[in-house]
Amino acid sequence: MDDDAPRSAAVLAEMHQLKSRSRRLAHGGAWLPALVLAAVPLGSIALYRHPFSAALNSAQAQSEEGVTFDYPYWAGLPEQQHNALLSYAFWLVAVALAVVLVARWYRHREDSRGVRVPWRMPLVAGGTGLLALLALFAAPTGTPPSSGLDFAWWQGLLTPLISIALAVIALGFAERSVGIAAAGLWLGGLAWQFCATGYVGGLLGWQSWLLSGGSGPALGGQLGLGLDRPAIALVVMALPLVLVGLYRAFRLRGQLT
Amino acid sequence: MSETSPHPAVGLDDVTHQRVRLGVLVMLAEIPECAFSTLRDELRLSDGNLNRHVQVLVDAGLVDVTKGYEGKRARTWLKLTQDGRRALRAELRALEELTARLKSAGLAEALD
Repeated sequence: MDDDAPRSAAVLAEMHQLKSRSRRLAHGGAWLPALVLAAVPLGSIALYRHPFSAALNSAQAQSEEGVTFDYPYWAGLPEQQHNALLSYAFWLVAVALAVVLVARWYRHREDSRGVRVPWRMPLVAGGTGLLALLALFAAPTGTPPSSGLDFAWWQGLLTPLISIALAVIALGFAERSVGIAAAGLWLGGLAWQFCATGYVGGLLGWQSWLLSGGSGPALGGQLGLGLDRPAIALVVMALPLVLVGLYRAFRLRGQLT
Repeated sequence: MSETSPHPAVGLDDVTHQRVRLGVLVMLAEIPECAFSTLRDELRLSDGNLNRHVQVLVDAGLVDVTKGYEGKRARTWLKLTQDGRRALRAELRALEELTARLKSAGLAEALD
């Protein structure tokens, strides 16, 4: 019976190789959906009136009467936008285009490679996000709280960025990628936090307390380092997804050459 | 390993232990749904040979087969069942135990 043992070692080694090859074959296409989904929030930078400055803190904004960022946050983050209708149209068109592009990509891979992942899952999540966008019309409108103390969790859901984050998390499950799922949680978590606090770069009470070394009242606050600017904030939010997408694309390229 | 524990080879199943069938199960464990032609190319088999092995796995309830069309082209998709996943885990565990037994036997011989 021990004659089986040397053979079993060889078979195991062969199966490990086959497993790695199969994994590359099955999930080698994840880079494109990841980059497409990252491009949507990055594209939304164009929706803001002052993407590279913190309008809330700028002297110009303070001098302007009636500068408010009402929720739902059509542009995505609580900052001044060019036009609410334009922002709304952007998400409606961009998410739909992303869904179509990702679906065509997976169809192409089914035809050319003969592998099928449950790619409808992220598309359903994206589609549900689109429907949620329509439901945002019925959401209550108002001005966000002026301090972290008045933070309302449900306001954090009134942003189209949440639908993108859901699609990314679903993509992570479909592609069995912890990296992609974590990038979706990061994107959704930050979008929720900034919208719930009503500030780009807004901090929750406990976070400001922690950052101040555990002293003083937990009143919330706003992050500096450029994170109070919509463009920088969106880049930071989408960065993990871009990095995961690029890493997967380069790794695949390295395996093909 | 104790004298009373059964030899790991007892845990090997004839259906899954066959090299090609084990390869099919390993591939399907990583690829949620895989085309017949992709399996054939990756395992470097003929249509008839792979078909025979797939039929054994289907009869054992380890693999599901779906036939459909993509445009005008007929295509067969294969998917691992829950029983198939369990059987694959059991087979790989038995193979690992056998390998570990070999290593420990080799070590004992070297010490002697």
